[in-house]
Amino acid sequence: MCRIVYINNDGGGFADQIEIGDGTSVAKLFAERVPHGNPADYLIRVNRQPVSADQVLQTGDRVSFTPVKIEGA
Amino acid sequence: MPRFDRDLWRLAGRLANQIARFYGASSPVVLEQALWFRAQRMLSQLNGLSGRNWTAAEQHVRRQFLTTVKRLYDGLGRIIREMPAGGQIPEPPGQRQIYEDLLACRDEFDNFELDLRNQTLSVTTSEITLEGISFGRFQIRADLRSLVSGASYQVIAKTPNRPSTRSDITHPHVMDDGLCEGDAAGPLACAMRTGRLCDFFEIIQQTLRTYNAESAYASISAWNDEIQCHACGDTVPEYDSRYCDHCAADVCEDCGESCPHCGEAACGACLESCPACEESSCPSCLQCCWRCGNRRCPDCLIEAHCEKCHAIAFPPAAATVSSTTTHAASEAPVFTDSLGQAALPEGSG
Repeated sequence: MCRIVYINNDGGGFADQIEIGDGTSVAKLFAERVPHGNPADYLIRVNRQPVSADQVLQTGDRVSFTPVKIEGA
Repeated sequence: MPRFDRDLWRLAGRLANQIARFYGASSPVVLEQALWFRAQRMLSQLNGLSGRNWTAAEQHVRRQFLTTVKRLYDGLGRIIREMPAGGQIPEPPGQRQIYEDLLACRDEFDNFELDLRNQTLSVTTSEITLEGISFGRFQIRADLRSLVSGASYQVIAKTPNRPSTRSDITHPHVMDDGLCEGDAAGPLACAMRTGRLCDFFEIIQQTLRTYNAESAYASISAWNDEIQCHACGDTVPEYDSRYCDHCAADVCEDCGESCPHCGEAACGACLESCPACEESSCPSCLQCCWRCGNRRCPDCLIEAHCEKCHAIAFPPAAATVSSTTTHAASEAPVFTDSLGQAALPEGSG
């Protein structure tokens, strides 16, 4: 297991440390945490940098998912 | 390795202290009450539109309602998945963490400005274009004194592009330099609670890049000097539109009416039928009967009463004089060839 900072800027927002399995890729984490989401609809960054979907996450990584479309009122 | 920035380091320390003061009192989970209240309002609107044959308005509200309910559903699902195990509250961000975030912010955005005198932190967005209309770039200016407690900030258009009829609007979701956050409210509050200023500015930028036609200060069509009729959904030139004084909606000429009693402009959805005469009347002109509370238009309200209650409260007066002699005298024949004659009652003289 490894521990990462997971940030989801969708809905009410979420930011906390979580534990994930060794070898978890960005795509796998997205599918687990945003099961109804389409990755193309999000800015996905690891340590504040854009990454490929198959990048494997390491302990201490900071992962953020920010929706491309956020509707104002 | 970026050069050490003393001002940013000090700012990070101040923000870390501000956040730490608020941290223990707040939960990392946000229940989106605003969405719930919005759904309730829309359901009430939908029930009010039912049976009125305002197809476009009903479809519009139905779409909004379903979208809002889906967001509530998704949000509740997210809480179930992401609620910290054992209800533990995460540690507040430290000075270094916030400092690194400020450095990332400086790299990510143009015109990163820290104004220590006025206690503001500003960045400038990229060019914002919605449906082919350019709104230019916006400066997001955050007030550092209240950023954590109340997230006070302004969204200022660098080259304002306003619709011809609204000098206070520079973007469909920005009025008087204030962003109507909508779905951004929760993530923005979470970003500030955890000291993620870069995410804070990025969320605002993404909100500016998104046009929510269902709920905007001004529709995109306003920038083309057009309005979308709130009732039938047609897009018409602004000079062909009318404005409802009651619900503040823009409607086309076909859907615009006026109250026959006071003359105020009203849309069909705001005009109601008088229960007595079934004529249209605006909500202000329909008044309640003083006795039973039923509503009547000014033509059907008699001395502040409906017709039924008026008959009860003010019964017609009975006849006071009834004389059989007078009656008999009136029936006696009068001989028209003798002037000065008058019929006399029987038995007289």
